[in-house]
Amino acid sequence: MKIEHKKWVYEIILEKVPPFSWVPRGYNVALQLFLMEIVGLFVAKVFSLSTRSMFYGSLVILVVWIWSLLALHIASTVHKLKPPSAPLERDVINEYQKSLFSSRHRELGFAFLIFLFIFSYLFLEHNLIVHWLDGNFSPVLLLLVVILLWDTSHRLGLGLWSAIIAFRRSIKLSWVSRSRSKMRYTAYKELRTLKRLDFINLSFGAVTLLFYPLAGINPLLFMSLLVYSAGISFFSAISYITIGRIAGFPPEVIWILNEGSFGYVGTSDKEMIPHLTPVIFVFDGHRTFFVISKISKKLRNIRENEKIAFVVDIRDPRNLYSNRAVLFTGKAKVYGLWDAVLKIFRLLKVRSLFHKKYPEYVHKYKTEEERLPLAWRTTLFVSRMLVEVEVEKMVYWREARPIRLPLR
Amino acid sequence: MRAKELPSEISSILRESHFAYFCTTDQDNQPHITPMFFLFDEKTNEIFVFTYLRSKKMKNIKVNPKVCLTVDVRDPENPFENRGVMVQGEAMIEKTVDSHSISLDKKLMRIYKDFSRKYPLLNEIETTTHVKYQRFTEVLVKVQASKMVYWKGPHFLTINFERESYG
Repeated sequence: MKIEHKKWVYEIILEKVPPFSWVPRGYNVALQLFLMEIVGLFVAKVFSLSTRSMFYGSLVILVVWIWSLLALHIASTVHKLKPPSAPLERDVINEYQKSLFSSRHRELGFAFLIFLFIFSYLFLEHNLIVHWLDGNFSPVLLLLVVILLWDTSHRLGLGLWSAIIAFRRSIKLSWVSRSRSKMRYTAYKELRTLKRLDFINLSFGAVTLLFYPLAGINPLLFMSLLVYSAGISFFSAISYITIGRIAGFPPEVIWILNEGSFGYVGTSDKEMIPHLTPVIFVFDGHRTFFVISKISKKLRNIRENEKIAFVVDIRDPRNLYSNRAVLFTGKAKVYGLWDAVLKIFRLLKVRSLFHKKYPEYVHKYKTEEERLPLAWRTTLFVSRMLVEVEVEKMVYWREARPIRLPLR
Repeated sequence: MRAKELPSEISSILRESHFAYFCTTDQDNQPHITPMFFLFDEKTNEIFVFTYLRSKKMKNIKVNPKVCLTVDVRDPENPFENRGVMVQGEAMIEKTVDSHSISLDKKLMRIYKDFSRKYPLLNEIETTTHVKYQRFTEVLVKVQASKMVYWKGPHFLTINFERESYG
């Protein structure tokens, strides 16, 4: 069942109000800012504003633009969140979506407060406006300042709102996953998406610091800026860490992934011919990685069809029938050289996990390097590729299903 | 007619191992794997597995009969001793096991017997837990190989089966 969520006023404006509704998604924000800048430059020309004032105005427009992109990215990601299958988690995510896009548009509450605060402060301390406008007081210019002030407050409000709501969501999600006495886990594959959202919120707070040239001259405004930035970073960071600590798999699955020595990778080429071979793999607590040869059929299959299946099982030496296995189905993410640059720490960690898990293998490979064919050498990206299993679905077996043989 | 003889490395793995990993794909070409009990019939070079008619792999086999079945022997210390066989071929239902009427020909009788010899506990399990599985119809699935790949360490051996040799 698909639930239609409410939207932010800002989204509605972009979707419904011309001329923004005329241009495709993604361009409407750019158009909005372009128009603002045009108007700004025009006004600056008419009132022959100083370069400094133009710089201030443009800076505000630039920051508002970055914020708008971040806020819209958050909004569209949260709209698209898939509901978790477990009812408790589903409630939390549902509530998260509902509060973030509240029908009473609570997201504007913070915006109004921030606007009122800065607006009344500017009334008391009008030398700030004098500084910004270089003493050029004209009703048109003041109106422009008020509009920019509202735009700024609106985005500030959105950022703070989404950070606080996300913070609440993470705490609740973590609480829900802890409340299960035996199964302390949250089978929710969008946990990573939530972490990404928190990261966007964090950068939202960081962007605020770009206002330093404008606010830096006034201690109170500058302090407020820092408090806001620190506050939003605090909420987002706590939320990020909390989500990172939630186990994405049941404890028994984690046990299998930690203890299992071999994994089995199933791929299929475009002719739909399945292919299945054992691989060595590691599990870093959240993700599963395996390495394959660069010239292997597996890699060719993955290039043709990224969908894979991955099984790890643990056999009971005393009882054939209490085999335990976990199956992941999903996509293969092959790490390229570019990933090696961007995700160097992850790669180093994976490398050390491989060394820890397969010390004998590493030793053997080292001593017999010369007599190995190139495809079997271990140099990453030269003859081996690292692949991550992007899990979409998980199946878990505790015991072999009985078979009834029609024999007496 | 007797099928062509396999190299002993291959047949011994297929005879002695207890688990096979069975890979099928669905209509979206999404692979699926299950560890399974299996039986290798040396007379025909066919591989048999038992499963349930309503299982995911049966649904997949109906969409795409091409399957892959891998059996391997693991060496936790030395990767050069790791060996295994990957069998690619076609799967088909050999027999739907209907509890009301069981008519078995000689070949099926032999396969059933070999199965219960290889997995002696199977019948024991049946008496303890089969009640909850009674509503599932079992099927005996035959896999006819079109290609087998054997490996030991970094060395590979590929055998292609021609259509005529299916026996």
